[in-house]
Amino acid sequence: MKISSPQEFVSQFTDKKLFDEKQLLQMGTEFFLVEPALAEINKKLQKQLAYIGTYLGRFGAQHFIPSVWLIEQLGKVAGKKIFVTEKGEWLFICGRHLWGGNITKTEDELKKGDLAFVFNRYGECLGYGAVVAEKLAKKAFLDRLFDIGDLIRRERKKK
Amino acid sequence: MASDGNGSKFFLKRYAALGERVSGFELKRSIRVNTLKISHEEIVKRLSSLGVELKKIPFVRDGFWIEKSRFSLGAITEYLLGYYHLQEAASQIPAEILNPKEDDVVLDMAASPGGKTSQLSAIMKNKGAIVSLELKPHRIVPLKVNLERLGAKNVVAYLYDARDAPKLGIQFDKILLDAPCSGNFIGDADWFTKRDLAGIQRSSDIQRGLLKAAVASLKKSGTLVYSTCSLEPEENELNIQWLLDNFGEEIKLEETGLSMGSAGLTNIFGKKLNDEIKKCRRFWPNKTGTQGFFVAKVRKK
Repeated sequence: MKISSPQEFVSQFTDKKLFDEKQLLQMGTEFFLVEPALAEINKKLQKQLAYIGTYLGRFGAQHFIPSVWLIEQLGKVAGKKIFVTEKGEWLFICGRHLWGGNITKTEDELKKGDLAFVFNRYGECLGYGAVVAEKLAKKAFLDRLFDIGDLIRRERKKK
Repeated sequence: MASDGNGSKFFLKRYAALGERVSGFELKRSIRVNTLKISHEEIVKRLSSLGVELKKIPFVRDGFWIEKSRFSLGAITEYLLGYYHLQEAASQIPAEILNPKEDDVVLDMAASPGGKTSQLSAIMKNKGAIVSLELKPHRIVPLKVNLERLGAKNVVAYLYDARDAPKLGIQFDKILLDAPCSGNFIGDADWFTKRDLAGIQRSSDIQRGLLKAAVASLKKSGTLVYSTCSLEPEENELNIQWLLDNFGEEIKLEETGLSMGSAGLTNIFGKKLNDEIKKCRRFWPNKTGTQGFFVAKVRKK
């Protein structure tokens, strides 16, 4: 499914409204949520904008890449959850796919093709991916689509 | 090399002439807890479970020394979730002195990489508004990544020369000018070979341009905090003397309220400066246990 907006991205996981669409601001391939007071300042200044309000995500070459904030919000409401070991957590935030041996438990029935969110032992959402196996085993279970390590990789890439 | 205005001998001799014998010193690493996302107690407990030992820094609100850690704290989950920022102890001071209120409109004149901007957001509890300016395009990505990571939501950031801040047409309640500077040798083994007096003078010229813009952009009764991580008087006390000489009718210096650091110098290589400059604070690393630092608090009349 080709995603064309942040709203469409969210609708893959939940019917709930996670943000006020009236506050959406697009800057190139990036999206932000902007409170009225900041929007007013930005409207007045009209300079080369770099960042504003709450970052929502961006379109990459293949798909929509959510922000850490958006992933956190989705993790609160989305159903399909996978909890990982400390080792699994570390590998996942380093950009690796998730193997069955690093999963401590799952919530809701997960089947091949499902999109599921990954949580550590503190219940913090680390990212999401696509289930690629029918059941947990000592092989790849979830292909990583986004993890919070994206922050560091983005910074390093631009250096 | 001393006659060329560079080299360790030249600079150390200068510091000695300013009254300080600065010697070898190992900088302690530190973090600032991001109170937008977590409490002091929670992060201490959380990092402690990973074998990281933290100790509260007594002179800043949210700062902790990293006493012990077997790994870098710049890539773990807690960092990525924005629970803390790796921020040197002295550099946590300017935002605290500025102490913006929740309904203030604040200007951050040299924003990247965003540590102090996000600190202002935390102090303001993500209320009010912060206009952040950054001149250099290659410094925009780290600024954006840090604002996202640390959950700063009251910021609008522009690629813009802060020397043109008066053209924005806003009179700000408070301004943070943590000025681009020549830095200091603490934690930078090559500093003495990279820097010379001519470069320091160029930095000073830029800083004066920024100070002029700050005064013009500040509301009446508004506060400006000026800081650098330089030990060189050209970027510190001599700039403040220039500010008093040129804008003395419009501004006055105020006490920083800091118990840390030494009074600003009023005798620079035999040149007598305004006594008010004693209200500024200068951080000699061997005395404060921090990097070299300078901070001044200015009020617009």
